[in-house]
Amino acid sequence: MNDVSVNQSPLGRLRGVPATVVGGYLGSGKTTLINGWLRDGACQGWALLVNDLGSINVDAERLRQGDGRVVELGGGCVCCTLRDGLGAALLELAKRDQPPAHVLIEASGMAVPERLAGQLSLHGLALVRVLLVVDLERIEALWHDRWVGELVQQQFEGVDLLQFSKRDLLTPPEAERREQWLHQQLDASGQRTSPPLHRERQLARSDSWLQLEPLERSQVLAWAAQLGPEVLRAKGELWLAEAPDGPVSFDRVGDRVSLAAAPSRPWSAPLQRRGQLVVISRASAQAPHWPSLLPSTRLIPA
Amino acid sequence: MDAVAAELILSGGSILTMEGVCPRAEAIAIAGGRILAVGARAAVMAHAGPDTKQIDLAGRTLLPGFIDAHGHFANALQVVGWANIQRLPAGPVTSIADLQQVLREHVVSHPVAKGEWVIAYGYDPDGFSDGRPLDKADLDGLFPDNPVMVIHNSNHGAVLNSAALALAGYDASTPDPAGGVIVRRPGSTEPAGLVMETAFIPLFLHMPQPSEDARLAEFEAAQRLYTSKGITTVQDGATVAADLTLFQRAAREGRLCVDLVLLPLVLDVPSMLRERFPDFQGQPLELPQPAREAFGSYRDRLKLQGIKLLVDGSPQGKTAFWGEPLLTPGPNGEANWRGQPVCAPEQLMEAVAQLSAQGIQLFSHCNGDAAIDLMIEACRRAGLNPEQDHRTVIIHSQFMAPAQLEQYAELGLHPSFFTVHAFFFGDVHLANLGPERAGRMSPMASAMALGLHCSNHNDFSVTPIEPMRMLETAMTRRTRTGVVLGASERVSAEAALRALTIEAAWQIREESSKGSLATGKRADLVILDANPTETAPERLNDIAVVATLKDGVCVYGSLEGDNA
Repeated sequence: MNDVSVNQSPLGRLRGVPATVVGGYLGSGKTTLINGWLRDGACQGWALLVNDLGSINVDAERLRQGDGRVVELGGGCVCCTLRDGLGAALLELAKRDQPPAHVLIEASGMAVPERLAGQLSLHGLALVRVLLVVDLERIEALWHDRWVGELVQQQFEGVDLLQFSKRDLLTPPEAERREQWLHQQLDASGQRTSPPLHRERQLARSDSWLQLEPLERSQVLAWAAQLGPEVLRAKGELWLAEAPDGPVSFDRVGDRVSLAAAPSRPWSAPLQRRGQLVVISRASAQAPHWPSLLPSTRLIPA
Repeated sequence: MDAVAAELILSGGSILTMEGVCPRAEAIAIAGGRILAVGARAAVMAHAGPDTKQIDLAGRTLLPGFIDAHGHFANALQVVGWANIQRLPAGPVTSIADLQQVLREHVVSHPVAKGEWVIAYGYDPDGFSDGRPLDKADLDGLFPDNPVMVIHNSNHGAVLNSAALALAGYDASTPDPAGGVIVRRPGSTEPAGLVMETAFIPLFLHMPQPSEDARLAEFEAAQRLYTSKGITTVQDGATVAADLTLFQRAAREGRLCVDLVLLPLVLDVPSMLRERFPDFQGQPLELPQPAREAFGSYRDRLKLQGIKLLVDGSPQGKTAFWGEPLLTPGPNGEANWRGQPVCAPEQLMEAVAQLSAQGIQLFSHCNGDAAIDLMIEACRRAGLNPEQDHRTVIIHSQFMAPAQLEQYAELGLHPSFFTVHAFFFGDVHLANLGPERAGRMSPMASAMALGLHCSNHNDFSVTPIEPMRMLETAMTRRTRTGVVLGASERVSAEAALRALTIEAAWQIREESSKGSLATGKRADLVILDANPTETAPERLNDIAVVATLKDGVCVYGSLEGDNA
């Protein structure tokens, strides 16, 4: 992106703010999970953009005090409605005194989360996580539904992580069976990458790293190989010494590592060479180690 | 009998009444904004008094004012400030040079300061003689210091100049977002100017929002788009919360010269209610009694008629919802694409049940046969039947599957068709759907044969406001390249005119006061310079409006026809 123009943008103040998209079909349990994360204190200082303000656990008095568009949740956390569209909600956030530490967006039940994520990136936010909430009890029926089956399948595209809601309502063998069924469907449907599973109710941890020095291809592969099982997914665009013309995409799911052979696009300017990695791990995991710890690199909490 | 003398009597031309028993009249008398008498000349002349103004139509044709059965008046408020770069015949453009000329003239009539946006609408590269699409460089020379947005005729994208691309932050390093495209110059990643779908949406953040006062100032010009085509009842067919406030203010201030019918968008109903009834606690989509009573009657020419539901997208954009896949890839290259609904089935079922139980009339946007099926299912579950006289209107009813019209009849659903699609998008539909499915678009003859009340619409600003092209396409169903789509669905001129008048009135429950020429009805009239029932279909769109009368008052042109 062009620095000058983004600074002129009405959303300039949200530039680089980490963002999480939470998708999932209507009734999949997105709101329940988000309310749980709020209770856990996982969203301190965050802005939450949701479809229905009334669905968020907030006392009625606070809700009435607001203008129906924004509600202060306490702890520096603010909740904003998406009913006038993503752009309007982001403008609302950009007008506030303090930019949020993180923006979490609840996609509508009919939205394709990957598309919403693309909009956030175009607006200059730093996307760190696209989660899809899946109701294991209903997914089989929804997958074949005559009205929304194709949409439900499309919602899996470009998702970083699957988060199961209501898994505890099923017996463990039944939950296992359905997970396997889903995996088979995803593998058969020709998804680019079948997203890994996250079985806990806690919000998966996400850490970002900005790379300001080039890395060797072999360094990246060695780093990917040593990541532990607590890392659910690692992905990003890297600056490789072997590929000076543009960023190279990287993705690791389980044992599967893919590092593109060549850049998919050019740098916006030679001086803007840099890479970025996001590591998504279990909520209880420690902060990850990064491929290099050169003094010029810096850590951004996300 | 009544001693009231006519204020105005018109005679001496063709008078098409749209009344079944008496389709032609020789004269019409008007007083107090209503029709005092219509029929044989001698009988009507009995109402003449010493002050009666008598107009000789001089062979012209008089009809009831046309009723906009579905369109978006809010878009008219925007479009009047934009440059029209549509291709012939809807606009003047056949080449890139023409387009540049329109933009040059536009900034003379609508001056812009440095940095202000220049917006044009109706871009269609298929209409260019240049053999190439518009490039940002074609705009940069004219506007080095102003962002320019040339909106694609799909309304799903636009060509931007370099200043606008810089504002959006799009350059050679910007990847295409999922579900969108930043079109590149050949052999490079440099943006060429055209951005579509999800790459287009973020642009709106950079556009200044006009103030309410600025929008109010456009009401006169916006209504003139309609009155100049003989339309006396206008629709805003998907009203959002902010616009409801604007329209109510415009009405209060006496800015409406035509009737404006609003269909609040179901998604915006909760915020409209919250604003007006902050203390009301009810179920979602439960309307307080005063809100229910606000529907169905005019106040200062403004009325709420029903609630608008959206079930799918557009067929030309391939976002409609069909039962079977298209013959061509989806909007993002998907194989076996049949589109998707835009609302969750369970939410649609709930909305139809909740709203119809409260007596609210429903207008539901359905383009593809699967969307129509979904709506039929929702109406069936809600227990709708014709005896309830609920008049649920299925807007577009565009690509109907066999037997769906019979289900309309069984449930009491009625179609508002969109026959100008045959002309504007018919060739695209043929490629996407093949002749059989494309031929089933807007099946007006079959629907009329079943006794359904069929209206016809332009869905402005999706297509231009052109009642005569609606007539032509209902009669010919001809595409731009001359292919006839579904020859058996062609209707007569008289039937096609009914869809623009009395049937459109019926759909908004105004058939007793509008839509035909009968004693006591409103004097909403249009005078045309030729009789559409005696004009070859391909000449219909050349017919000009001489005058438009709303409640007996001339709101466009002149009765004498001398300065139209």
